[in-house]
Amino acid sequence: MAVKSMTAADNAAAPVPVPLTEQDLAVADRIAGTSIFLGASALLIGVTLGVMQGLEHVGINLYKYVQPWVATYYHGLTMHGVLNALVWTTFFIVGFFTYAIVRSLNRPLRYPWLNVLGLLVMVIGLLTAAVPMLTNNASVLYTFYPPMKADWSCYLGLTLVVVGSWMAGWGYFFTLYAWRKEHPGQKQPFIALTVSITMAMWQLATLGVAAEILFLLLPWSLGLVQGTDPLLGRTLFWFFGHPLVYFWLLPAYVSWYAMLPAQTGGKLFSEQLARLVFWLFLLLSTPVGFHHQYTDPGIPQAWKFLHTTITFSLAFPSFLTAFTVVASLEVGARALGGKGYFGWIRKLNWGNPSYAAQNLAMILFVFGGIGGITNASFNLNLAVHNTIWIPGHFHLTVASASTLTFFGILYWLAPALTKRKLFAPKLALAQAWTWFIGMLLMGNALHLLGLHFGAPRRTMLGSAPYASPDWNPFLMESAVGVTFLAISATLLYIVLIGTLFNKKSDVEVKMPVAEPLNPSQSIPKWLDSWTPWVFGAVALVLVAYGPMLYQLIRDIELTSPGWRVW
Amino acid sequence: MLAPPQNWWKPLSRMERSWVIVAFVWCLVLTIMMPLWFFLGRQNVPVTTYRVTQAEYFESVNAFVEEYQVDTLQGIPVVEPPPGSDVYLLARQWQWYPVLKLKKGEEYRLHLSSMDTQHGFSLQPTNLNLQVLPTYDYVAKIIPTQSGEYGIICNEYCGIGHHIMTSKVIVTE
Ligand code: HEM
Ligand SMILES: [Cu+2]
Ligand SMILES: [Cu+2]
Repeated sequence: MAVKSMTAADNAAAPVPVPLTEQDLAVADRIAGTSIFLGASALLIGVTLGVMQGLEHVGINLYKYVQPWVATYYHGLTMHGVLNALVWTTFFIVGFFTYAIVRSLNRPLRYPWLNVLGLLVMVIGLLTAAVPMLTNNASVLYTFYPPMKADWSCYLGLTLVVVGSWMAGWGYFFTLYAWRKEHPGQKQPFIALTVSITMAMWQLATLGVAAEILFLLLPWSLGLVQGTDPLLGRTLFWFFGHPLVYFWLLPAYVSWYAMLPAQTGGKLFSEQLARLVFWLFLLLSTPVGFHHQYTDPGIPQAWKFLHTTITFSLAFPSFLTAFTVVASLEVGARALGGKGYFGWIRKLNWGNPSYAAQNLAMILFVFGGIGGITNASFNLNLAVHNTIWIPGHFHLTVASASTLTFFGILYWLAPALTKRKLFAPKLALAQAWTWFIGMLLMGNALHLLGLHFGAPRRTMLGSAPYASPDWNPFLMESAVGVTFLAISATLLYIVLIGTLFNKKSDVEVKMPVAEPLNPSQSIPKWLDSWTPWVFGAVALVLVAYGPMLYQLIRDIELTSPGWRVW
Repeated sequence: MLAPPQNWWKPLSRMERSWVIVAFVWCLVLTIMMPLWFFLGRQNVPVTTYRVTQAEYFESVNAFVEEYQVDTLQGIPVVEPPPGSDVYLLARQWQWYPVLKLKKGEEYRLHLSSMDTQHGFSLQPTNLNLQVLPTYDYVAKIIPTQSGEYGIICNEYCGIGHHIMTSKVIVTE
């Protein structure tokens, strides 16, 4: 229903909606398919390295068998972080979004060439960064903290990946804008809106890392300046680093809110709150980066506090999400005959791998969220900073909440894109459960190792002289988890590759779309307009980062020489 | 333009509203805990930082070692500074320099900086972690509360020898 009623005059002024043809769909799906294929290929290498890390911790050193491809633990760890957290996520998200936005708007991409170009730039960037990374010329881990110095081509490549994803975002913005012109007075469709909000947040967030690379790291690694400023580098990195985690998470939220309820017979419980949540993420995601720098020198307490406060404000939309999503699923389960306070949970669509994977991802995210609040707490952070608690935490978030949700999405999206049936759905179901169990065990063990023993992260623990026998039970628990994960990853690729070679099916798989529970609910104007939120987000970033960045730039000292020590 | 219809949106239902309130209050409590703990808690994030050049810091450390060295442990000087004084610790590939000997119950000003890449100061088994950057001198006020030997390890990736970068603090009665 329209927010306001339209007159004939309004209608006449609006351009005629452009119909979505088979050909338009084919273009969008080609982009989506290519992007997701590349992302999933990167993940294959990434998880293999993850398993090697987990086994190294219990003294099983597999690195000697992969010389010189993976020269050292740290060479592997760099690729694990980059391929999983940056490449798999970004490529999957761009693919998924491209597929979803044209369906949500029922309109072709406004400038398909822009989205094609975006993907092309991402691929060129990926190849550029891959050369130094594979040859052990950039083993600086995925955070590339200066003054450790990678080959310049690594920085350049990563920048191109980001620039390509910007272009994908611009493509969505133009498409949504065209739709709005063609449909004056109508509220923006939920999926298209939330896809665009995620990409808008990403534009703002990536300015930090773009500035770090263009102004500090590239001139320095090219030899144009002699030194660099490590704190300014860290600050610009974390300007980007926290919203990065919301860039991983929001696509999962899009699915949980707008698609998953439909996969279990449910409806979107409260569209108003759901929209509010996404706007709040646009507003609040970026000005929180200092919560990664609580234990850094050179940043006054007051600024750290401000960022803590905004971080806890961000917990608010996450709590709302928990409520709305669970209520939406409950609606479905009750419609299917579920009873009791908790009895309805059994009626959810557990037999469907796409559904089960995403619901399991949510459960892991509950633990990830609790851990996240701990990390963000100013004082508790002193105890867990840089310990292996932190990888314990984010394997429940990015590697579970996001990644396992993406697997769930793939279980309908891969058949939709390839027009083939999902290969071995039972194996897909087993994949979801083994990932769940594996991450639960590994996550639990790493959390405890970090908290009780202060075991460090980013460390070849199996060779560390200080590793104590007290750690062994937890390391073993982690290794059992890693074994489950290795099985799970194998199942994943059996299912995906099997689907790729399955025979063509005539049954058309459609994107699941959850209808709002209360379709007559109108959306207030402030939840449908961009201006206040975009300006608010920029203003908040200026307030929360402006003075400190000004000071760091004013006092910049490019004196730290680069180090290549791996 | 048309006048907007009167009811822009239905007010939130009772369930939605109560959840919004619960979520909001919870976040408020969490946020208020932070400054509260800052004033009431005994362990807090250090606040003092100086900008130094690596050469300056290196000089301070050497002067410190020269003045208070009491012993040598595996080639690294053991240093016992007087209570209440400034204590210098230097991180570099791949060692902590020097080994510190402190007295229980006394306060020290512990300086931390790096000669090369970033490092992570991590005290074992008490679990206290601080980021160590080159060109920044980070000062933490510490009071050892128990005697014994504590480990120091590095928990920020600093290159191929990262996992062997260890040292200790000896706390005497
Ligand atoms: C088979 C599944 C996986 C296993 C067994 C695994 C294992 C590990 C382990 C043991 C570490 C800690 C290494 C250390 O701190 O020394 C680690 C780090 C990491 N993992 Fe995973 N992982 C897996 C999947 C993933 C996925 C799917 C993602 C992201 C989408 C991911 C992202 C990361 C990141 C960002 C790091 C931190 C790297 C760094 O500190 O620089 N992992 N992984
Ligand atoms: Cu964060
Ligand atoms: Cu280190």
